[in-house]
Amino acid sequence: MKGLFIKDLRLLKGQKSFFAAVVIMMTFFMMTYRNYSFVISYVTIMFGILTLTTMSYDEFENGMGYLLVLPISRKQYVIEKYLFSILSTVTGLLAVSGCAAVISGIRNIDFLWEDWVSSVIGSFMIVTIMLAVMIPLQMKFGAEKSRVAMMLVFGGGALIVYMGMKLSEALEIDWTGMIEWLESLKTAAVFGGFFVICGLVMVISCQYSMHVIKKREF
Amino acid sequence: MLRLNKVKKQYEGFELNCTLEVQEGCITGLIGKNGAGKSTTFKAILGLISMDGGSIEIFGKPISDIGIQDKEDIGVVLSDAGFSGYLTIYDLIPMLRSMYRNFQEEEFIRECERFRLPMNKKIKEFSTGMKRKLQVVAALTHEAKLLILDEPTAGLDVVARDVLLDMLRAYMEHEGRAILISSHISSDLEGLCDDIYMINDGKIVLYEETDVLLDSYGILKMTTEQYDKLEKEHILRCRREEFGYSCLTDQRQFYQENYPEIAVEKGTIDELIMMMIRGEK
Repeated sequence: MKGLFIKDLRLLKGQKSFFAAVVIMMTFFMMTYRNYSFVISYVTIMFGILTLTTMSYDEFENGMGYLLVLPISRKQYVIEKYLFSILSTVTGLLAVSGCAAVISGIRNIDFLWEDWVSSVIGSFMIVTIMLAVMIPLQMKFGAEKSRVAMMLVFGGGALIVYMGMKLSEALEIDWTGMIEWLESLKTAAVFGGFFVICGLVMVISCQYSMHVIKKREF
Repeated sequence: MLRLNKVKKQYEGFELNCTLEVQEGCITGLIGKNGAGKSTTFKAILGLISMDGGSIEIFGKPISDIGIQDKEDIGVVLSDAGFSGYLTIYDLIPMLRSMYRNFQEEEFIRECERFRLPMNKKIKEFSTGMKRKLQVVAALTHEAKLLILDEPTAGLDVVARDVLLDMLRAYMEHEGRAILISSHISSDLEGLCDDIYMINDGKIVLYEETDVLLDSYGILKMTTEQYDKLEKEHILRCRREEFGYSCLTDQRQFYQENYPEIAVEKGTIDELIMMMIRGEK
């Protein structure tokens, strides 16, 4: 698996323009805005979805077929992608948080712990949903076709959420109690619970990806 | 080393049904026209496609039991796939070093330099021949026991082809090794392979040792009258021609001795393939 990590890191080494764009955006937002929630989420999400880029590069000119004749297993390939996505997301988060801490200090901005927590939760939620859906789709359909599948899945997801909202309105379900209960929880509990849920979603997605790649022909 | 027993794979309009064996110490060739089933056979061996029937054994194990350590003993060249085009050769070195316990880093670099492969250029910018050379070098530099080479000479100029074939001969100087190789350039296989399988429409239509193929097989050319009087016991395929008939035999000497009036040609492997594929039984 070490070889796969090296390959992915080397693939990202060629993404100089991407990283330059992220750094420019981050610098711009940190120098002009006083609230860093958006920029923290933005950078974390951008780093989180880098795994999808490496998958597209693996697929380039049927490269996946050749990759799988090297001494790696299909299972290892899938696990590495999920681990790499976690690693890249956390790296992005640490980098942007570090920059935010330094620049907020220089600019005398009072950057609140709560803001940071909400940014982390928001960005991790988006990254988790995107990766949990996109990795298996890309494993199954390849980089090109998975874009169409992604639109269908997210479109379907949005429709389900909309229907759920309409249904709860029709049935007059009161969510206030639930929201109040969530607000009453301690930050650590919310954080812990949230990461457990994200972890479970990723594990389920990983299992499904293994099932998908086992059946795929190259 | 490698055994395929009635391996079946069905696609729309195509069915593979292949039985072949690669013995230790041998270079076995697989020849056939485009779409005959060569690449499908290679992909089945490498587990890249599922089988609809039959069995494959590598190193005496069913392919379902082939693990990562066994894969280290296999070197591969694929005709339609390769390393990610977004990597450079310098990127590949640490990757291959951590994947193969016996990766010969210095030899890999030396061979890349010999083939004048740019170390810092993205592989997607390589020509087809350069990509093929890179795969061959990678396959040969981790002390594999079995090489599975699908069209390794495609896209190479004559000199590079010659160098590559010499590399394969040098590889076979060590004991306990074997190669399965396909090529559409049959002259490559003529001078390299110990035995040859010919595949057509997914089926093996001929298997023979290369020496026997070149020494005993031949093409007879005759008029219709001569054809009518001919003993057809050793005739494998016939084809109607403007002058009469062309026939493929595996007993060239028999016809040379008994039918001196008939033109008997040794025939190249290409001609033998043509007769096997386009001739009638």
